[in-house]
Amino acid sequence: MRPERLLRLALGQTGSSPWRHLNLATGVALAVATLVMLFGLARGVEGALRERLLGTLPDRMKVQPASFHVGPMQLVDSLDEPMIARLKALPGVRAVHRQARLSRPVQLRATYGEQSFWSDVVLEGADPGLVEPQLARGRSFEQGAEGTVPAVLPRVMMDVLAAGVSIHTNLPTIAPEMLAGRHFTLLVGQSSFGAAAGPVQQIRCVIVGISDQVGLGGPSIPLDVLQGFSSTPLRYHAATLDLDSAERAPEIEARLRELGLEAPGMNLARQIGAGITWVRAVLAAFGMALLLVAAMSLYAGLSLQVREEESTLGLYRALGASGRDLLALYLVRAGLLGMAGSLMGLAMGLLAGAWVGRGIASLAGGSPGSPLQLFQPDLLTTSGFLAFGIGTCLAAGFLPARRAARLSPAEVLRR
Amino acid sequence: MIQVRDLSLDHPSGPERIQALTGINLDIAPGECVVLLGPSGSGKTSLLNLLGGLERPSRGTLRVGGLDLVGASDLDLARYRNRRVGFVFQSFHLDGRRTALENVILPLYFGQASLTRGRERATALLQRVGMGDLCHRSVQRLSGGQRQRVAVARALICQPELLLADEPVGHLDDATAESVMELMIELHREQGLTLVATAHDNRLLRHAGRVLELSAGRLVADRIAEAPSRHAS
Repeated sequence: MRPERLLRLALGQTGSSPWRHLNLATGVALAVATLVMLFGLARGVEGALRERLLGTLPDRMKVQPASFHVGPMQLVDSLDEPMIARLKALPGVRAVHRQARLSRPVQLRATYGEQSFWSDVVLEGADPGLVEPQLARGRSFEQGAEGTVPAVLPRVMMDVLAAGVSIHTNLPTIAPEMLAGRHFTLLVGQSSFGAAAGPVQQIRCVIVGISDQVGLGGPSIPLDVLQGFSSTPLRYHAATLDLDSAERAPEIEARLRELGLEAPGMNLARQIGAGITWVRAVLAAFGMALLLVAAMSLYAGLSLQVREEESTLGLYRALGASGRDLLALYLVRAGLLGMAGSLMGLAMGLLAGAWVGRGIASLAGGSPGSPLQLFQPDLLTTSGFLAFGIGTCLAAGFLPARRAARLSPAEVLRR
Repeated sequence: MIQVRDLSLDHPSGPERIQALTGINLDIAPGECVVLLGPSGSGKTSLLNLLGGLERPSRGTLRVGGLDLVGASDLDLARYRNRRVGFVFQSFHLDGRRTALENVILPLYFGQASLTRGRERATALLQRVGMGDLCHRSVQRLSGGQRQRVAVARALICQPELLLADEPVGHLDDATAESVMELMIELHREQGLTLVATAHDNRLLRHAGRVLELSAGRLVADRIAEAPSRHAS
């Protein structure tokens, strides 16, 4: 039978009892929806943990000198330019972004909605490549001609400010988009913990982005600008490596250990990744169980239909349908049910996932201006679930289809 | 056209096998109008099913227009039923979810002919069988006689050489039966079809050119009909 005629015949049969077929497709829809929702949430949670807690991405590695403890004291060395050069020369490392802290005290002063506030902060310098992916649109981390210094705020700092503003004032909630372009002042050499030595220098800064990659103690400005406020050459407390691919991370980590360095975030990221892999395996097993139940229900439904439609099938055989035509007819019906169910499930899963993700994010205390994106479905996995839903339905429909193909036309027409 | 030699058919019935047909030998020439006569259970429908390629014999040979129905593959038999045979059943076997026109074009789904041209031919056939005004009506809303006319039109849609009718007027009252039989005979004459019909009473006999009598699965008589057919085969 020609494929378009097969499809028309199958659609005609499916359309003749839509509610019944919808009922059969619902099981598949629920299973696919559950898989799409749970896997999207697992991916979102993993991404949020990596980015917000560790500042680590799969192809980025934060490197520090190995620390050691003497009693309660933690002693940490720093990285110098020769070490940075050795890091750049490591195979699999695409770029190295340096980070340094100014050893002098710094105070941040700003106004928001005519309310002034100040805070002691740790001023950091960073290479532009470290923060570029998270800069606000149209902003640059290079010092402009107008004399203001571009600054990036750590997301944690913005969340603290946003929480204070939303709890204690009626001002609009602070969000990354609205902070871009706003100004604040840094007073280098001033501290609320006591008089600092030396003159106080003032830096006028403009916010160009919010980042998870910079240090948590205060704003980051370009490294070369920071050097201007230090009387000695800067030493770097950390460096972030951009890798050719995430797969090279273990090999590079081993080389780092030989250099006396460590990548503390990677261990935790790996543990989180392993935990999420387990969670995914459990979710996959749960989803498979749901799909299996849906497949059994579909099998029972299609078997019943074959039985009810025996005389029609006998008629089709008499009119010229081959056994192969009837096999194909029922497989197409199963496939159509699978497709309808999977698409319904995809829509349900995306909606439910987004809703549940927002709910969990609000409970987890994400800032209103920078909410956690806890539902992050990816195209490949979602397409895989769609294909799996359809494949399961085809498998469930095979036995009823084969039974239809093997019916004796003379026997069923005689009944 | 039809050549049957030593044809037997048995069906499983529990642990035993029931002999439906035994040692049938016959030849039917193209364009003949043959009535298979016999009481219920005599093997008429079984013989018709074998001629239509709906079933395979247990023994013997069966050739229709050069095609060996015993050795043919499932696909070849399907093509044979679609292109060369038209069936009319006692209980109509129409698809109740479809209109008269949709039922008539149904066989075209299983063949290669154009559906658009088939639709035109189906409309013309429905006109021919007196159902032109009702072609878009659901078959569930048609009377028995009307349904059988639709079934006749469906049997002819692929322009078959052989029309097989299993008790085509068995469920119809005398007047309707007569009109349906006359229609089938007219079409048989117009299109030069070979017509093989089964009957268990004498209502069909006056239309037949030849009568084959079956009893307990055996061919017991092969004679020219007493009342001659209006069609000289």
